[in-house]
Amino acid sequence: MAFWTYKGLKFGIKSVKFPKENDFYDGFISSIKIDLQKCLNLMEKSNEPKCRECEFVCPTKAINLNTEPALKVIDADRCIFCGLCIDVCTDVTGSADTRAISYTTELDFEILPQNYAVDKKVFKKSLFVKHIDTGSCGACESEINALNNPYYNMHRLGIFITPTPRFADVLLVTGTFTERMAEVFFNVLDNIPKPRFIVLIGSCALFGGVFEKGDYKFNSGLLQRDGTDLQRKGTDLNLSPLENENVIALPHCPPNPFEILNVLLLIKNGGLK
Amino acid sequence: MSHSNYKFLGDYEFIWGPVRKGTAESILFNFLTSGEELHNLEITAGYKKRNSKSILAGKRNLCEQILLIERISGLHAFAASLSYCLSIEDFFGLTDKGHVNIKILRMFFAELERIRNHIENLSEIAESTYIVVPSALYAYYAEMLKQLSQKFLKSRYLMNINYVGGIKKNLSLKDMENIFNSVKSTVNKVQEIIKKNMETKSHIDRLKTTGKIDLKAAKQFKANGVAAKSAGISLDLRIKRPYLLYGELYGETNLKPAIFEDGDAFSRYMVRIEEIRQSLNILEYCYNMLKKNRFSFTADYLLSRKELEELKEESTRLQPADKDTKYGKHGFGYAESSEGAIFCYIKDFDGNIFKKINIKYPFESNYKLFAYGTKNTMMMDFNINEASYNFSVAALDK
Repeated sequence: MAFWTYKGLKFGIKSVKFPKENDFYDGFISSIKIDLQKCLNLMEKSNEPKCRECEFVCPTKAINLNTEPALKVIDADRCIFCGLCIDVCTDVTGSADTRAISYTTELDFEILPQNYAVDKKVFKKSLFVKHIDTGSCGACESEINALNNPYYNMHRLGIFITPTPRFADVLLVTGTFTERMAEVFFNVLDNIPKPRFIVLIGSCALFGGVFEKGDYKFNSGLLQRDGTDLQRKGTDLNLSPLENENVIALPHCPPNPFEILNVLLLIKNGGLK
Repeated sequence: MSHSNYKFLGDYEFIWGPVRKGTAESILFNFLTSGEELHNLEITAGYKKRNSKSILAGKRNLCEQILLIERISGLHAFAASLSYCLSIEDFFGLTDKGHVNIKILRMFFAELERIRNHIENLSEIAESTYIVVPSALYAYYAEMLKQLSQKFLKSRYLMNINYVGGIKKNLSLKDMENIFNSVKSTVNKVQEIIKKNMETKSHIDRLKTTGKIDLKAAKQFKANGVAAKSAGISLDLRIKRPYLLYGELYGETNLKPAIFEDGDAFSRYMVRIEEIRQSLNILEYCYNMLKKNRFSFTADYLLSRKELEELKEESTRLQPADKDTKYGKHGFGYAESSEGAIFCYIKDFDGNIFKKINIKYPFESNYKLFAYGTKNTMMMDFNINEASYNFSVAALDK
């Protein structure tokens, strides 16, 4: 055991300085943006769009070229980073240099909380996080787990995963919100003391991601539930599951550990508003 | 199966799940235990069933179907999409037409995924035996591989890469060299930790004889992948039924099945270590072959949209005649993932998508073997057992 202690010390500190510095690794991407100067459709507005290829190929309908303002053409909440729009844009424009859509390395700070009712720092000390999987592919879990590795090392920032909801401040929800997990979800949520936050991790938890299936009651994420089709057991209320809750939606498929860490830090430090 | 057949005086039941400690997938374990010894285990899956089959049938094109298949189990995204792409190519009669460099590239990324998954699993196994430093080191190196994937392929989990007839991401030989050199250096560091870990008695002792399964049980439960290899069954599709260019590896890299006899957690651990070593050799072979074949860019070998449309049209035209045959026209593909074989059977092409897709993951048989293998083991060893099987609940609950 002494050997491993020595080995651990010799290995040194490998953690990033984030959030003090945005020292993201080489190749980090956080969003997909459209260049208005290069897009054939947006550079010269006309009634008949010249090219709608990206809108057509998008598997999650994240692109709507009629959106105003034009900067919001790509809906960050629905984008799963499949890159099909980038491929097709390269095909249309002829090269990677002239294409209008590309990856960017900035953290997408436009992701704002929904139903957010608290405007100051809520938690004084450490932040305890409980995770629930409501039908994910395992990649989001892997990204949350990655926060414990020496590179991100979220313990240094006073954020911990807790095994029980009773001690939790934040509930991380991953997955498409399946029928069998609905009741379990409320069970866990009811056991988390208030004030509490719900963070929806990944496109699946937001709207079902690639598993979204039209008007099907479940498998369409938690954010889209309006309460009319989902009744909480033991009550006559037909409330939306997110009524009166502090909910933060974190899209992408799966979200990068930096993005998850960023949201948790914003909750911890009260910097959401 | 009921607990009553296994109940001793003083035994009690308790359930664990579907929401468990830490960051875990949803599955329910029902234990029958006397406190220290686990007498029976019933596993209830299905909490996160997403009805993938019916959703796949509602997609608009092959690309969307590939995206969904990758996301059935995100940690095996490349192997799953590879088995689906190979079955599509089988359906369209492209299997022998694909360029040799595409086969090499696919082998390269499949082995990269295997190395990453095995290193992540070594981290989990080390954590389950409470040796935290090696666990953190393994996790760090697995993270390095994910960052490498994102740098060159824009996805940390090798998603959105495979497509019918090729690899979508455009990579140059220089990129491949960079990826290979980085993986080689990471694996070399991991092997140093493995070497030291093998000398850590508290780690090895806890793995040995834990969750032991014999050959008979492995055959009875149709064990697959790492679990089968650890019990002495050679079921590695890369060797038994070679696909891509795996058949040519015998002489080049001395690819032999990583077989161990004991069937315990230590054997499963050793299978993973051996496969990491083998996969690095295969990566080297792939890189050398790319150099030899004067590979320049991935895009040179990608099937063009026009060619694919022609194939689709031809296939739709030919289908009515084939319907007269017993099974109709179908495609079949398979790939060996880090945890075992992934099979894909496709049928009923309507001109845009395949209406019938059956994809089989190794976990469907392995989780029954896991429940059987944990009988009469110590409750304290349950974590080790679970980590050594490393099954994906997502793949189980398609």
